[in-house]
Amino acid sequence: MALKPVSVSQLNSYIKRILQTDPILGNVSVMGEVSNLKFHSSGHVYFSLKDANSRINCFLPSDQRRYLRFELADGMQVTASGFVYLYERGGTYSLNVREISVNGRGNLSIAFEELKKRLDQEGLFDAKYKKELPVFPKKVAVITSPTGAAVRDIIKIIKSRNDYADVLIFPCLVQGPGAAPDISRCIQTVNRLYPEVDVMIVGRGGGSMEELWAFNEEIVARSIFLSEIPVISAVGHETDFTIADFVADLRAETPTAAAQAAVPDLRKLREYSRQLLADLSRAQGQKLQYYAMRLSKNSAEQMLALLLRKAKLSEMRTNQALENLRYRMDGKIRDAEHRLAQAQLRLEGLNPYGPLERGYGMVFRRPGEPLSSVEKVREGDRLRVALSDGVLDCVVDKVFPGLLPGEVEGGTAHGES
Amino acid sequence: MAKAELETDEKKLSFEDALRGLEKAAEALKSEETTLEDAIRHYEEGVRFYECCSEILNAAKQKIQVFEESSETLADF
Repeated sequence: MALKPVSVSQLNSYIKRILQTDPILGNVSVMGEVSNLKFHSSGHVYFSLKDANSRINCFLPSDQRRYLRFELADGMQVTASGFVYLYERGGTYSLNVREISVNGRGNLSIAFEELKKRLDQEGLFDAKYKKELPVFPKKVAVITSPTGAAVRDIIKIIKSRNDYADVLIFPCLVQGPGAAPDISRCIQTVNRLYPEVDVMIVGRGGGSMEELWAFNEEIVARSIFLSEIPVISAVGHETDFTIADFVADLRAETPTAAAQAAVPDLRKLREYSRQLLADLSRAQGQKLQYYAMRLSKNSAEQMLALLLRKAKLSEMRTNQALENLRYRMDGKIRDAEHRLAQAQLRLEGLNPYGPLERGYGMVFRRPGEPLSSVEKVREGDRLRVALSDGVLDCVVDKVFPGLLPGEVEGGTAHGES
Repeated sequence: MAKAELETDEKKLSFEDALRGLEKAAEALKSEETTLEDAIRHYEEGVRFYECCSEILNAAKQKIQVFEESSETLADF
């Protein structure tokens, strides 16, 4: 027997009551693949879970989303727990999700990539936000498990390098659902209570991807990003990369490497400062030597020597000039003497009395009237003959016109006289 | 300038600053252009920076402590 017709509202209200009082539907876990994922601006998340044949709408309220330990993405295989809820006005039902877990490395990797992409786009990994690590920290905070190998390694390395920096250990969970909020709270506590801390190491030793997962959670990433104190991340081994590593100011491959990066080796630093002092002293010595050298170059003796050298040089140049003058004067004199001798020779050639020296005689009939021809001479004429050293007055014995002196010498005239 | 800075802040000069000061002094002394007066000044400064460094380095008294969340205090590890 059918009931009296009811309104839509009444029907939906009835179904809702049935659904919500069912013990199974009130707390159910469903496995499936995430699809149609939508992040609403209100913070609520809407998506579907599906398998090969069927799908169900899911709703993750914003206050639950905060506890989500990984980034959701379409295609991920998840297990969602919650209760089935009817939306009365639409007549649709959905799974109201309280908790989601991811199974399998592949799905965790998707979650990792999703969060990495989102935070990267937001700028949390930007180099411009990376703080410089202090060169000489006085206080180092270490946020890790107080019982793990990491804390022992870190303390051992710090102590071996540096006996100056204080180490403050902040114990926290490093795996499991409570780890990420715990790590995050520790980072905030250090910033709040010990702002004088110079650098902090956040990390843990090696483990599976699931064990390291806390360092892939958004809450940890945000705390690292907001930390005023520089953060060194040190999670697992060299091959493990976590979101914390990308946000940290420095990613250390291991906790040991983090300790090395956090504090300087004081032995080396002592050596270095001694080296600098030695450099300083040596440079100072060289500088003084240099000035002493310049000073000695300009001493009174040096100046005197310089002056003497200059005087010597001037003297030499004067002497040289004098020498030069003399030489040229001598030349001129020799030249003049030579010219004089030449002139004398030429003059001697012109001396009318010159031939007398060689045996010639000059004949005069009357004084001042030299005779050069026999033409007007007669026998018995009185003639005067001038020789080089005296005068002969002679009487002409005979005249031979046209006869040359050589012919006379061998002739009768000579014999007769 | 640097001298005044050294004198007034010597007490609270950080190791980093002292080391940098020492490095600068050594560098300045090596320069050809440094005058004798500057050289002497750099040397004296450098020596004081070194003393500062070594004082800090030798005053090491490291503490390893652990934070107790309930009381928000530090205890020896």
